[in-house]
Amino acid sequence: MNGPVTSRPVFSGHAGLIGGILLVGALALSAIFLPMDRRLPMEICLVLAMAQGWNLLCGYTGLLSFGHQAFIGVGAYTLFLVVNTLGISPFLGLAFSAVVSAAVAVVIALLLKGSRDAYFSIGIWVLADCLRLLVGQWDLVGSAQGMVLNAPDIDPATFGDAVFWAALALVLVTQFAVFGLLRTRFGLGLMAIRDNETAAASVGIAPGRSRVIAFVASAVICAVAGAIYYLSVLYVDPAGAFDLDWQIRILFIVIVGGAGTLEGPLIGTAIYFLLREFLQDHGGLFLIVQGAIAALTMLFAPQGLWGLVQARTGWQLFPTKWVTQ
Amino acid sequence: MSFLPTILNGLMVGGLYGLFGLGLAFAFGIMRIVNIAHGEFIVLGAYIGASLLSVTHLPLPVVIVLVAVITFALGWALQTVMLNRMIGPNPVPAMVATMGLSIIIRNALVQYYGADIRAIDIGPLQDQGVSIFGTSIGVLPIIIFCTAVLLFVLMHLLLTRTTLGRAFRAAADDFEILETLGFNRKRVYAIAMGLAVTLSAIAGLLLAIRSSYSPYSGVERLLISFEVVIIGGIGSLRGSFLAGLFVGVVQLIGLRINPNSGPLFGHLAFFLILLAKQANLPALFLRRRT
Amino acid sequence: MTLLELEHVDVFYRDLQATFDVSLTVDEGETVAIIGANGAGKSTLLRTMIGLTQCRNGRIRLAGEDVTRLRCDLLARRGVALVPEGRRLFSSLTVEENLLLAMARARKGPWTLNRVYDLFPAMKEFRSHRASDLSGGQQQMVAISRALLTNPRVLLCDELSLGLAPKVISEIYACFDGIRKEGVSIVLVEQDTVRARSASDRLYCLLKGKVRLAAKSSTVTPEAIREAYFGETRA
Repeated sequence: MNGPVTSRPVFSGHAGLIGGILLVGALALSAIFLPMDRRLPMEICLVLAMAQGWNLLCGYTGLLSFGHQAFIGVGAYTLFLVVNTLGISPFLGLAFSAVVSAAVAVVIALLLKGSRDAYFSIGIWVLADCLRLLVGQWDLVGSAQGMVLNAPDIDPATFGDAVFWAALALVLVTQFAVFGLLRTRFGLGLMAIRDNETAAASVGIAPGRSRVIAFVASAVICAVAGAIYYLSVLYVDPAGAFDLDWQIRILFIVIVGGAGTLEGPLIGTAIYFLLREFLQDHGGLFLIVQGAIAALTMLFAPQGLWGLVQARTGWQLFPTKWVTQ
Repeated sequence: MSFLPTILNGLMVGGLYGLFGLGLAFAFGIMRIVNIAHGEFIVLGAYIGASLLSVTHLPLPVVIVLVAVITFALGWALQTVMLNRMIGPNPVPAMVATMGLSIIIRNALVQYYGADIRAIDIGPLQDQGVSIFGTSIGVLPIIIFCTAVLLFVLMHLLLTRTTLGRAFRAAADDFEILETLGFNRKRVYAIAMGLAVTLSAIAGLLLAIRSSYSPYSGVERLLISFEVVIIGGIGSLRGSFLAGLFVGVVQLIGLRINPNSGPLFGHLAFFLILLAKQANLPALFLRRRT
Repeated sequence: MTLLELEHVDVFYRDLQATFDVSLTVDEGETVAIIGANGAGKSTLLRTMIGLTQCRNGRIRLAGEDVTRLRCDLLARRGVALVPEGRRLFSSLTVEENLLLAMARARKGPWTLNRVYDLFPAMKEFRSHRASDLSGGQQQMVAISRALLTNPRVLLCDELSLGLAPKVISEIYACFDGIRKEGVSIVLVEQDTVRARSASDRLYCLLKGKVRLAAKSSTVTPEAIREAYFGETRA
């Protein structure tokens, strides 16, 4: 052995990465060029972005959150408030959503400092419920009735396209930003914390700080996605924006697709929307099936669909496993 | 003293909240399992009880016993079929699976009973009052409160005087050694979950007599249970009871001040206590004698 | 009469192999010691004997019956009891509650509350104390009594002397005659080789998960033990 071993991160599976980029590219192009109503592709992009953000927290840091609907609501309401009271352009308002949600996330992280496992999961749920109730009492934002977006200079003809482009931009940035983040030292540190916190701390990784960064990132992603969604319908109310259903949707996608993988949310999103289309006339049954699939996945394939595939084949479309050279 | 009826009602509701919290803490303390569907089982108690009352016209005490038996079986089945496969150091699988279960139960209730808000009416007893210290207090709330206290007392006796109770406490301390004494861990867990569910379901039924419920009430009940557990501690019966009373009184006073606030005041009081305790957080998780 | 038999047992602890092809026997009424350095696999072997850990390969027989894959509580009901390393009493229960729990699923036999109080008269004083309030020596008395109250055929003792003062250890070992008189077989895992030798009929010495020495305690030489314990030969 001569000299120190330098571990250059070399990623296994360059071919896989090309496959991943091609896949995402194909999906993006089909969304752009297929002649269809922009609403569904926009929704798919947003939900996928939310799932990737939540997955960064749950799959890679190990913190299971049942309260990310809080950030969707915060993002949406910030946008509406800022546009309605300051007259700012809606798309600029998204920047405000990002900043405010980051601040809220930091406060929540402080409130839940030291909480683990169930205490964290349900604790943030209580916080989300508090926000829902508090916003529902706030006259400035219309209390329980909610409020309509007051942006007269929106061009109705191009608006649908505009929100779609915003959603597409968000999901592409999210997908590759999270991917890039996980390939850094920081990302490796996150995975180390998830697997064995004490060991990680003993090699100098700061679990608390890393978790907060991941938490804030996931919050911002969900907030901007939520803001774009409610922007597209030009109306927001507390029951909708802070609905647990957002969290359930995200949970389903990540768990069924495969938590802790970048490919998992892609698959999970596809399954979610296919299932929704298939059961669109049976709303109640759709929800029951969602719950059943989530529970069964946890029982029999806790690593999710992509986890199963990866276990068999070792494929990585977005390689995040290091190999030292 | 216009707040007196509110406080008394808060105590009554609080006794039930204490049982909600006890159910959640019981499962967690013994098995380290958080049953996210806990709230839905509480609501199930109300729905099953309501159905029995309207279909069979049996007296309330009998219905309570029937609901107890049915929900015990449900809890036992939940543990045996699903949760016993997920015991382990990682709490996430059980939480996600029970979250899935809660979604199933909630929406199945919507499908079967509809999403409307209901309340149970048990006839003339609903409005009977008794005069104490010059104020009229409902007979029903007193009965409900006494039932809650009775259940707590029974649990105390179970945990301190019976083999099963000792086994529960021992399982919380060291389940491996309990097995070496000849106890079947999975069966102990199944009975524990059955008990946890049945206590909460009975309380859910009793609450439904005084308050309204719908398939969506489960979430609120779960969050209340969680708050009671955090405030009262996991290893303490007395803690759960007192914490329940506290949350109940705060909740009702809050609703009196602002009828649209829902569980907000309870949530806020919870966070204040959480913040106050954060310096002492490790002490929260230390086991205390019941 | 052979009571407990291990044949070619391989036990894994997560991904690491803890024992390699271990075979040993314990006869009725016998006291067998298992000695060896830390990490030699002794405790893992005891855990396997009571079913807390499953062995990957090999067979375990209790009175002729194949119990290799038997669940721990069923093994306990067939007469295997454990005095665990570190005592591991139920800390939130009192001494008496710990003992009552042991009696709840016990086999029929001579051990009763009165008998164990005769064996350790000092326990009567702290019978209503919480287990977590006791000293190490007191805990050890309770741990042994708890195991005895299940009326076992074979008593597995894991590092009885760990963390205890020598005087206390002597008192604990002094009670062994009383236990042996009832015909209970004892498997003694010990780091203290002198005690192990004087308290047992036969001994096995493990090194890195393998049996290096199997000998009668009365005739084995210190050199043989040292060689097996450390794995070195003196020139």
